[in-house]
Amino acid sequence: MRVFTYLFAIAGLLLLGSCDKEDNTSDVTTELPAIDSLTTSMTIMQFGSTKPAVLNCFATGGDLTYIWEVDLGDLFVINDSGSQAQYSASPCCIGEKTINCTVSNNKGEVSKSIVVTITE
Amino acid sequence: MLRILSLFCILSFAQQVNAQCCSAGNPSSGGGSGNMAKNYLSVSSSYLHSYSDTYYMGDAIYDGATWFSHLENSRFDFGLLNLSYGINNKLSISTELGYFINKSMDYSFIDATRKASGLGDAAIDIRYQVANFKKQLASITASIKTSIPIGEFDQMDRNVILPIDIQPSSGSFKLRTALSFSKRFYGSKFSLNSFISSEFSQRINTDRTDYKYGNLYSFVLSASHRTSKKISTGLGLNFTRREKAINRGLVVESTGGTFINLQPRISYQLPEGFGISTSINTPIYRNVNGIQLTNKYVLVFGVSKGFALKKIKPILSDILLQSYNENTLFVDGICGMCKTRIEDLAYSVKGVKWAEWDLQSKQLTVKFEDDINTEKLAKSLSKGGHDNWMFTAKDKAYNNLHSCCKYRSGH
Repeated sequence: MRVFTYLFAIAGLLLLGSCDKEDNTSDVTTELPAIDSLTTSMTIMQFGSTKPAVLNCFATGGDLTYIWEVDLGDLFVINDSGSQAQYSASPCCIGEKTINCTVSNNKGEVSKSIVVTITE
Repeated sequence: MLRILSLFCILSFAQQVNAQCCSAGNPSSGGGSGNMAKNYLSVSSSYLHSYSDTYYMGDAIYDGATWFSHLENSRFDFGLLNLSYGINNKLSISTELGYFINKSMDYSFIDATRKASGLGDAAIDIRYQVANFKKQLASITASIKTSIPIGEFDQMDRNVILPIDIQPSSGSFKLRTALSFSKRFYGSKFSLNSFISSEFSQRINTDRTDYKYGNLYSFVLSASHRTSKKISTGLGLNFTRREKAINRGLVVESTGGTFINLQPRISYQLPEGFGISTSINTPIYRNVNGIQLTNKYVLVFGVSKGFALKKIKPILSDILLQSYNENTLFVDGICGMCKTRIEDLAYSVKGVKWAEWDLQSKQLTVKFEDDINTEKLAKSLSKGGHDNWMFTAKDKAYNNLHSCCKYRSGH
């Protein structure tokens, strides 16, 4: 009988523990992401520029993840949220370069592109 | 085994040392010029370390690289697995699989390192010996190789999808055709190989990328010397010309160029069919289009092992083997292929139930039920080109042996 009592008590504790389980879901209210604008500090830059182009992606939707891509050149995210990036180009990147930013959350994703022209 | 080592050396000689800018894919061109013996499988693995830190404009060092994102250095550590198999004595097939352990770029003006790793490209290379001049100890082999981009081409680093020049896979199918000529001198102590190839890349056309690597033309001239029974040394000279790449229909000016690399190497034969080799590939001349970061060196370390497949050796129980009569006889030979040949020749003699030749002691052990004609066995071996306890092989038979099987001193 005592064994059953102990088992019942353990089961009860486990049940209570499970009730206290932390909810991992984010408190942030999300909606389908939308990009308001994608801007660059330079639309034309020389390949040897000592100053990179700074790109900003302004988006809404909550709990956003930013993914940047370009086929050639040096692209780096420069802020914590990932909404800001810098782009510079070595000599192999002369010409028009399309920089794409994809913003996503648990509701979906959206992309926008901007062209930076690299000159000699 | 030396044959495998020779093949491996040729593989090493065929390494491409390209400018780092805008190039991707396996750094080895693979292939090689030799074809394998029938039913012979060679498994080789190599590790490559490459380092690049100097910009060139044309054929001169470019000191003006002060732009924001110029690279301090670019480097990679790469592993290559290669399997080669001789379907018959003329036709062989080879497959390779590359893996970038680390592919990275360090930037000068920003505190950043861009890194990638993962599977590179796979390749299938089919080689056919189109001509064999036995008297002249020379041969011509043609090959066709297809590279398949099986690795990642959309790898990401800190929320940025990496550009194509650092992706582990080239993202492009490639086709390479090659012709090689090999000639041996002084028996087989010295050999000269030349290898000419052209490689064409498929245009990459995805949502993100519209890019075509420049065609690659290569000529390799290499010489090998068998310094001792176990050690082989060589020197390779690699001429490479890569055309400019095309990005979204426009020529990418700072891509491609002409490169000449020098590659000394040494290989060592270990017991049990293993071989090791090392080489260093350094450019002695570069003339790049535009301005490019160029390679400083590629270090190559390799290990290989050969297997004779479809051996006709029967599977017999120990009890049955013990019941047979046994004879141990001297047969000369030098490598794993000799072992296969000697044992095959022994099995061709009536009455031989089991045969094994030991490379170190040069002793052939044969097991038989009642009796065997040892003279017939000796004749068979000498006809196959192997000196033995009873007969010396005729020069004609000896000369027919593959270059790596020439066991007589002075050859």
